[in-house]
Amino acid sequence: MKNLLLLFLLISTFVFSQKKKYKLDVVSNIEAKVIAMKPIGNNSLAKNLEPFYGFAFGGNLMTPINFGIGVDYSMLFSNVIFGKENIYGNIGSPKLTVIDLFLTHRENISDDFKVEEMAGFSYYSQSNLYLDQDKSKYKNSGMGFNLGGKILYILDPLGYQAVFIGGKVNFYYNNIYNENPEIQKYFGRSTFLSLNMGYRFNF
Amino acid sequence: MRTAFLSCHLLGIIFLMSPNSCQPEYRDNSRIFVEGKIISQNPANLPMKLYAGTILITETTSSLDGSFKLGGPGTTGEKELSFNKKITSFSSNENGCKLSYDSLSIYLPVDKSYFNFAQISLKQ
Repeated sequence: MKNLLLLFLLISTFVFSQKKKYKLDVVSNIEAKVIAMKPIGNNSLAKNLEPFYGFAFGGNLMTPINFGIGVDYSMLFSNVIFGKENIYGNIGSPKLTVIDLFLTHRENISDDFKVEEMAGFSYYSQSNLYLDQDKSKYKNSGMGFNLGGKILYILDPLGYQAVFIGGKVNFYYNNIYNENPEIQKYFGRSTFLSLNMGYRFNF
Repeated sequence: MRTAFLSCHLLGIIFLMSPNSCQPEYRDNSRIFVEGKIISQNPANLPMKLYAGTILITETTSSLDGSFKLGGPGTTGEKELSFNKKITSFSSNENGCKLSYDSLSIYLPVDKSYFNFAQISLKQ
C-alpha cells in the first residue's frame, strides 16, 4: 500500500511535470524615434544636400532565442546647399521615405541594459516638389540594405518601457538614368550614416 | 442622323478635354546633365538657363574660367540651353545639337541626357 502510494506520487509528478504549456513566447514592441542622417561619399545626396533630419516609427517581434524581425518607417527632410542648385536642378527640397525590414538579435548585457544588432533590406522613395508645376512631384525610388545597432535602457522594473540610442548604415541604390555612367553614379548611389534616439514600449 | 450630329459634338468635347501632348512634361527617375566651357573675352559670370518648353530645368552662371555645370530633372521634349549673348560656334559630344534661329540658344536632342560642350564661343 505504501509502495503503491509512492508509485502514484512518482507517476503524478512525472506526468504533470511533463505537461508544459507550449505557448509561443513571442514578445512585440513598438517604438518612435528621431533621426539625424548624413549621406557620405562623392554623390549628389552628400555634396548637394544638407544633412537630413526626421523621425521614424517601428516595431519588432522577438522570439525567446533572442532573434526577431523588425520594420522601420522613416521620413527624412533636407535642403539644397546654397550654391549647388545648378547641379541639383530647379526642384524643391527633398523628402526621403525609408522602409527598413530587418532581422534583429538581442543581447542581454544586464537587467537594465540590452544591445541589439540588425541587418536587412531597405526601400527608399525620394520626392521633390516641382517649382514649375503645381501639385506634382519628382519621384525616385531605390533599394538597398542596412546594418545597425542600438543600446537599450529599461526604464521600469516590469520592463515595459525603454529608451534607446542607435546608429545605422544604409546603402542606397536608385534607378536614375543618364547616358554618362559617372553622372548616373553621382545621382544614383549613396551611403547614409544615421544616429537615432527614441522610446520603446514592450507588450 | 440626330445621334451622328450629337456624337460629332461629343468628339469635339473629348478632343478639347484631352491633355495637350505638345507641352513637355517632367520625367521621373531621369537626370539631365550639361557641362562645358565658354570661350569669350571675359567668360566669367555669364548667366545661362536650361529650358524644356516653359519648364526651367536649371540655371547657373559660368565660373571664372568660363566652365559651367548644369543638372536637373529629366523632361520629355526638346531642351534648350540659352545664353544672353549670341553664339558664334560650339562643339559638342552629341551631333544632334543645333543652333537656334536667333543664335541665342542651342537646341538639345530629345533622346539624350548627357551633353559636354568642349567649347562655346560667344560674341562680345
